[in-house]
Amino acid sequence: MKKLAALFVSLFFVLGIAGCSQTQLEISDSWVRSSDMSGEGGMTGMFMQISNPGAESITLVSGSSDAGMVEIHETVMGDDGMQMQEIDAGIEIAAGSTVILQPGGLHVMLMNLSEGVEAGDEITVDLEFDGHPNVSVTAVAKPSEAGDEEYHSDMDSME
Amino acid sequence: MISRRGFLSATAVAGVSTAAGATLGAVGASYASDVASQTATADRSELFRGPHQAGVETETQAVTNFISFNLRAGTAKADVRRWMSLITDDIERLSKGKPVLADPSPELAVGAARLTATVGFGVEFFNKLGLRSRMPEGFIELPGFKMDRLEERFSGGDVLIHVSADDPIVLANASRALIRDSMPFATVRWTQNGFVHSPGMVPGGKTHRNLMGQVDGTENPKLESVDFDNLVWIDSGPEWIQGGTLLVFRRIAMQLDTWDQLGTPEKEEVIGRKLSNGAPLTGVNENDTPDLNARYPNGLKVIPDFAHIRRAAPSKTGERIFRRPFSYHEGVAADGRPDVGLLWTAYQRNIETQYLPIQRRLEQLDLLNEWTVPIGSATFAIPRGVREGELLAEGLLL
Repeated sequence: MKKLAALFVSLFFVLGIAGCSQTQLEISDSWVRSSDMSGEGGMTGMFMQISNPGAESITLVSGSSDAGMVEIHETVMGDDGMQMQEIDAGIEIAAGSTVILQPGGLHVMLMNLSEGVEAGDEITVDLEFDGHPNVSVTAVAKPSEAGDEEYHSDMDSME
Repeated sequence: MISRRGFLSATAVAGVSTAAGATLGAVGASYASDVASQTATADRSELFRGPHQAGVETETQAVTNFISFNLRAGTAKADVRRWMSLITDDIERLSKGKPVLADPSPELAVGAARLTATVGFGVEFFNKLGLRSRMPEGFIELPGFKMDRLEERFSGGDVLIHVSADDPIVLANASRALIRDSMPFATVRWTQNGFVHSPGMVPGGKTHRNLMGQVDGTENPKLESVDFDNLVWIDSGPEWIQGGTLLVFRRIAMQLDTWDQLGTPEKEEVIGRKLSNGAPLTGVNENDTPDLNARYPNGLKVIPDFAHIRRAAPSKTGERIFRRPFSYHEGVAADGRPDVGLLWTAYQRNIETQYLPIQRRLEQLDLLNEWTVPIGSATFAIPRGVREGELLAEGLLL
């Protein structure tokens, strides 16, 4: 995992590809969780704010990373309480709106981690969109337990 | 007739008090609406980035939390660098009144309230990380002094995060965030909470009173003066400390029950200053220079040999410090004795040549020692400020 660049990037603007009259997607406050779950082979969630100031809807459909396998997830109320599941349709960011990916809600899931994610590490994920070019997002790892119940209960049942 | 005159004057007084009551009512209402619309405390902020860390040459905030950490076993320099990257971002956001990244309670970011968080490193930090050769000159752990009654639970530490703000909710939330992001790297050794006046109680720049009633800090260098720069901010040695300073932290318990058995003239002789306005016993105003040679007609010194300000006065140029004390009040014993005192701080370029000689003189003789007992002690090196694009203490942790 890429350990800490000197510059701490927390807000960046992603320019649309040249020649496109469309949108500049804005992604800010991105972070990943470092926790007991995020060891090598483990998993973690990635969170951020995605704003779409344009006139067309954009959908986050998938992603890829050297750090592990990437899925787009939502958290829903199931029979056994809150559960995470992959969203096949992706996450739509409607024209002029902001979507917040956060613990206990929508998030980018990183699984089968190639290396443990420790607090202060930086993880880069290439996000793939419908209606917008790919965006490379670098997120810092923050120690966090928020919205962690489902991870723990999953792990407990696996043991 | 006498009783009738009494009745008349009583009536007259009642009339006056009715009028006064009406006036006060109007003032009261306007004050209430004024206060209701004020968010001045929330809106005031201190700049995080600059040549020096904030929280030293900063008008003292209302409430404070000194948080001392022990490095976890196995925490190495690269880990501390990741720790500093997290809290650099945290402090920058908190200073602007914004939630930290990944804040589980973003709704508590209700304003900047002049929040500052100042980071320092103890002598053991340098030993544990193999950085002893990069320690600043004059940075030492204090020797024991004969008046010390130090307790482990108030003393020492590898890393200090000193958080202050003008609002207790802002302070608590910020401390929580900084501790949360520190837990992968360190454990909390102790926290100590203190306070001064609320915002708006005393004009900016005016010396605060401590809980003994004394105006405390008169001899300080003025903020943003050349004098301050020369006494406090280090300008030589390793690059990471140039623009930094050295902190002596002391928890000093006050024996208020016995202190209050003294009369005002005795209290004033112990210090050498008047309680009313902090003026030296040889002067009229707080900032008058004490005349240590002045004597009463009977030959006795006006400022006695045992007086605190005589003992603390520099014996040579540069033997001065910048004090930024907070009070603490941790409750009251069953017999009514309050657990009160000072979270006393001294900032300087060199502990050996500035704090130590003063403290040695106070150790030898200072009547104030009868009512003040050091029960906690620590020293920390405070790295220089964080410039744009930098991390805290980056130069030390490369």
